[in-house]
Amino acid sequence: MIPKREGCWKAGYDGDVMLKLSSTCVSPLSQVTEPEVTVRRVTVNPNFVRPLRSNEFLLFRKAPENIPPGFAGYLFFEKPSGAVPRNSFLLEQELSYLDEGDIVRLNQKRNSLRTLYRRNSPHNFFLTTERCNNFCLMCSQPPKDNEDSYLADEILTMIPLVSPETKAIGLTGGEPTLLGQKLIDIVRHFKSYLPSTALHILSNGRQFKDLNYAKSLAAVAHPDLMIGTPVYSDISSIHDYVVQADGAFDDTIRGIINLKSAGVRVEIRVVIHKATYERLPDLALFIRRNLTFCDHVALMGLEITGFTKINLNDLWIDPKDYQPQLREAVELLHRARMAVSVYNHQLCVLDPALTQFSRKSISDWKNEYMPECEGCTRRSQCGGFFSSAKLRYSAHIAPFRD
Amino acid sequence: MEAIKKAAYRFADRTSVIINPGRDSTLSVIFNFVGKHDKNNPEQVISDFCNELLDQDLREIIRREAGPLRNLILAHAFSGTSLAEED
Amino acid sequence: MPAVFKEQAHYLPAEKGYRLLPFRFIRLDGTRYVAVNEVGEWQVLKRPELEATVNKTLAQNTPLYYSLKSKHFIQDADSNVAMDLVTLKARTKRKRIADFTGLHMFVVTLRCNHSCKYCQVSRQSEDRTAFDMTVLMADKAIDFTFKSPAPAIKIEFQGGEPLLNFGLIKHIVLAANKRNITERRNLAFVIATNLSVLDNDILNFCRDENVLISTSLDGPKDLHNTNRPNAGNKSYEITIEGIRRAREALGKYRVNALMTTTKASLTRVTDIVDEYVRQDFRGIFLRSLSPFGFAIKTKCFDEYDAREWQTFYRTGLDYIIELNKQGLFFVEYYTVLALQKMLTPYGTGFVNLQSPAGIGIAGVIFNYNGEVYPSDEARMKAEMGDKIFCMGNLLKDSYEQMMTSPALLTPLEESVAESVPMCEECAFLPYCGCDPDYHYATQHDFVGHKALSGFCTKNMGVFRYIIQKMEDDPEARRVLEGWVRW
Repeated sequence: MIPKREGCWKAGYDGDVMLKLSSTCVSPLSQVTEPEVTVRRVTVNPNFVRPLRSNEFLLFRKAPENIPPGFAGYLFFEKPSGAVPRNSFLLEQELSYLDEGDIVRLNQKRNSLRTLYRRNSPHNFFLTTERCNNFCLMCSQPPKDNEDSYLADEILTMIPLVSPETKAIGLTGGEPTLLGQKLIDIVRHFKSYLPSTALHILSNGRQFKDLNYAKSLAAVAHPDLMIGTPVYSDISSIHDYVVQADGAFDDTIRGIINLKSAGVRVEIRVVIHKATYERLPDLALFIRRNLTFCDHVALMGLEITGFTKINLNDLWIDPKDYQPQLREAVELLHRARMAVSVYNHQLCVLDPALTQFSRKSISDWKNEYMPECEGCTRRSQCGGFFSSAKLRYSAHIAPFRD
Repeated sequence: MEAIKKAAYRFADRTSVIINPGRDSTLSVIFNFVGKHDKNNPEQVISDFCNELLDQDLREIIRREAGPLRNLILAHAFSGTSLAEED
Repeated sequence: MPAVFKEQAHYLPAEKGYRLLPFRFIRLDGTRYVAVNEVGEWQVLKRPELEATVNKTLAQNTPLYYSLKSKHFIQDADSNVAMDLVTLKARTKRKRIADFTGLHMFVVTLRCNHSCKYCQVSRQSEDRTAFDMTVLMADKAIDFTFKSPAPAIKIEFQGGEPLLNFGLIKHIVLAANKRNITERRNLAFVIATNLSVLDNDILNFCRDENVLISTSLDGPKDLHNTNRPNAGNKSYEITIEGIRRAREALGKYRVNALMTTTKASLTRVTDIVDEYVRQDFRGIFLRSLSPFGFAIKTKCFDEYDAREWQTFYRTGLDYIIELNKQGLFFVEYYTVLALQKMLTPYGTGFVNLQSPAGIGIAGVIFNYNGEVYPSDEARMKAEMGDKIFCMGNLLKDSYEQMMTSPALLTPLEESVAESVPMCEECAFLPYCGCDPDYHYATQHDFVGHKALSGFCTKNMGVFRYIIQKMEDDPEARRVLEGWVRW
């Protein structure tokens, strides 16, 4: 499962080209009878089967000659010349990526449209809540203490609309487990409607210190579920500092133990920055001695987004400078036959021994590259950068000339 | 006394030891270097022995403080119950 | 950082001070000590640091403090998950005990055509069939074997020279495999043979039924033939040719060799290793000479003691590490076992390094006369006239009677390392074991006085040396890390 592309739910990424996932330039072209906030699937097929049209928005890339009836609504990029049916809307050009099977939320009071799911994207993440019980220094989704239970309800309505061929979906936040039983319901809904879709929940694991909660998640028996849980240090006070919450380390460790004892797959995630790189080998030793049963370890580069920007001085270290620690950590885990991956690093910065562990977490076309990448022969293997990297990136970017 | 006995046991390959309680809760310790032990350097052996006594002191501290924890760990480890946290 | 975020100091434990978790320590060398926790995690430290740790004066949040906290030697107010983790680890380490008896040895005959100097078994000439196991005993032994709950069972054929009774081996393999259709264990077979009577029938059978071959190779030709005389004095040639044929028929990795150390071997370790490298093995087990059987009768054992062996081992290990640094993957198997205990959360199945002892719990042996013993060493003691370890007889006693007989339980209970002098406070306890058969043979006592024990000296020396190497030689450390099987 490819890890969350931080911040991508707000301003999306297709490859690394910024896609505008949220638009406030939706203009109604006719009478609106849709509810104030509505979640619908998009189709570009005017011959969509009649009995099911009432759930779909029909999208026209060009002004059509005729408009078939029966759809929940109509989306245009060019205003058509003739009359338009009820629930017709004009969208801005930046939304022209929309395609068959995508799911959107339309808020007609605010004239806004948000793309919640893109069938063509390998990275779909559903936001479950913005509330969180941690406050990580490098949080890409700064927590908000709002009443946002509508997000969970929305996910439940979205799931039946998602294409069953979807390979994987991620649940993110905030902290998804703050949904309590609702999260279990969501997982069960995924199992029911999307049994072939892998489900990856990003969670700090703390709520799973309650064994019964872990067991109830396991009891759903989802066919392909993994919980991605960060552990930032082998030392409790350092982990607690990074996540800015007392007692977080203990809760998380207990949560991991409970999840594994209940039979749920767990991935340990580590973001590498100034506060975590020094003890990375010690963390690897700790993991392979105490948490050997975990299913995967993901070591990730820092993304310059969210809280990272304001804490940059305390977090930034040039990735080239921590390669010795990263290499030692990866080797320690790999020798223990644990599955290890390195994400979000450019190939020229990585120790060559780590190339085989590096996974492309940025899509393989239209990635962002820096001027220093000019002429590099390994562009296609290397993921390149996130757009946010423009703010700060390694001083050691250099092209390969194999 | 315990410490001396334990040290004496450990050093049985290098020397034989006789412990005599004296007056005023003192102890005299006599080191014997006969037979196959006479190849050993008595000063070195006695010096090592004294270090061992100091080590025994440390062990005693650990034993007192961590001993009950050890029993807890082993009892739990060998029990049939699940080790995951019950609420 | 903005005020909404708190500095690292805020997250340090509110109360100063820490408490000790269970650990042991021993002097390593010079000024260094090594502390080892309840589950085998270790920390080398200078004596003053050890004193500071135990006396609670260790400075907080220094690298050593962090290391001790991370490895669960100490615990402070900041986190109380240490006990949960140590308990989990303690259970994981001992999980194999619950798996119970895996190794089952069948002495199918006592007859032999070699006269190895250190042989731990009575020499019988080739034509005395009174020393063969019967089919009835074999069938009872198979029943006994499957009474074990172990998910993985290894049946090992011993002797004498087991291939002199190949007919019985065939019977046992076929019967066990048939039984295993319903039992569904991970079942493996090994024949420990000198390869002198290998023919195509035997090789084909082993190939078809997946039987492994284990043989003795003591070193280069002169050393091997001196140790293992036979009629014609061609033991080495026979062995090499046998290895070649067996590999061809069964597959390279299905043929294994073991060496035995004698006084003659002690100065030749690099030659012996070279021989194993030349013969394309992936590793060698530098064994010590056990004090049993003919070894004592012919005074082999008296001729050297554990300290001389220590030099042999260390020279050998250094040489092997050098070979690895030069690019050859080649291991020393005893070291691998120790490393497994030191570096992984798991225990091992090696019968001679267990506490409680591996006798009965890890392995059992069925003698040619139906008698059941809890280890190979124990049956050798019987061959020398002392049947103290005899658990019973397949023809008379039940599995339950034999596995609960005092002959087994008494040495098990008495020898448990966690409760005997010196062992109970020894730093190396999590790596070591107890060997009641060894101590009975040498000191006539299941426990043994460890200060006078060759078993203890050997193991302490091995563990010390490995830890020193890991601490002082980063390249050697990487090599050793690469040997561990997780």
